[in-house]
Amino acid sequence: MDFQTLRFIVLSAALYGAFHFGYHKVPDHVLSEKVYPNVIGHFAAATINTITPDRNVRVSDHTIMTKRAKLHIVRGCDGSGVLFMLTAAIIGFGAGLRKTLIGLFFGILTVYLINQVRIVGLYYVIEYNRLWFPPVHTYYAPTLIIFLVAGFFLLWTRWATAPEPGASGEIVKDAGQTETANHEQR
Amino acid sequence: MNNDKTVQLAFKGLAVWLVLSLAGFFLGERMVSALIPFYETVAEAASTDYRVKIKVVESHESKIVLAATAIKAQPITPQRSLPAGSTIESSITVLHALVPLVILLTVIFTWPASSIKQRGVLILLAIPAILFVSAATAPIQLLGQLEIGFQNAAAKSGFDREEPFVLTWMLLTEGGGRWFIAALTGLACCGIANRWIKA
Repeated sequence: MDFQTLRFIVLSAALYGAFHFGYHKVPDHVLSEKVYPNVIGHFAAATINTITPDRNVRVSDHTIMTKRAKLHIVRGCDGSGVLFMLTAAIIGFGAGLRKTLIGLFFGILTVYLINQVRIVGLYYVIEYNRLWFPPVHTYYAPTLIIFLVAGFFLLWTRWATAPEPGASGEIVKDAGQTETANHEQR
Repeated sequence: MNNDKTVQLAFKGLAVWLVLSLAGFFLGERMVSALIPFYETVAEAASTDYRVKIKVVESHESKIVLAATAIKAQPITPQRSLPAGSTIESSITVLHALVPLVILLTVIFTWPASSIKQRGVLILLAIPAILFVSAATAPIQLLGQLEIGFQNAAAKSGFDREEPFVLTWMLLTEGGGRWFIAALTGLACCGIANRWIKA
């Protein structure tokens, strides 16, 4: 393993740990009464009401509910883990400030949208067949989301390491490799 | 990597994820059963206060059940403790324990190896990687579940019990850390294989 890869692994793991411990300093009531309804719940409810207007979804603190189903958003199942992973990976990758900020902006947006799809999807899973909820929630959804977020990260690293038009010098190719670009002027 | 290769890699990754997910869903109990002795060794090493027995209980939602027998009295509050010789249980679902392994193997099998030799090295590296990721997740989570019971009992009595390391680690990994551990371990395997076997 080369130094770049090792640095990426150590730095992003340390950043993840820092984000996690910061997140656990946020009191439960702040998450369930302020963050979850306003950041996740109302948008998910609006989406469900748009897709299926007869559901008349209500949001109460961290709960999305209808007559047919009830979904609680709780600490750890709110998309924070994936968000911290991607944020740590983008910062740990070590691209320039501008590219890192652009990566963080689109990365956070991507994670948010994927998580909203997950929440809305889980609501319909509960409504359709409660028995499907545990495997979808604990098994298929997390692994698929990690795969999608890894895809975003791959695309971002490709963009972040692409040589600028007319640029020369050493660029970071991916988490573990470096290469020189445009060194040879023929 | 050009656009065609990126698209190919994405489809390959999706196919690998699908195959591994379905394999875990249908064969997960057998896979986890093979890891049970290893889980027991790790659990006893992580917490020397218990004698540990782990089994897979098959049902609609199969579970890994840990039965921990206290070797010495386990203090919960200054006035209350779990007597030595008592056995308490905790459990997690088999599917839950498989998530990091699916992520790890998806990274390893999707990685674009430059030769068959490099692919072979990656597959060999997957074995210690599976053990490392398993050790860092399932047994600690089972022990952490026991500690949550103690923490809740202490909190009900108004006692602020110190958080043991297994609980801190469990909270770190359960929030998503176990996914990241798996992904980074997979990346480390790929980095090592790249270093050992040059194209």
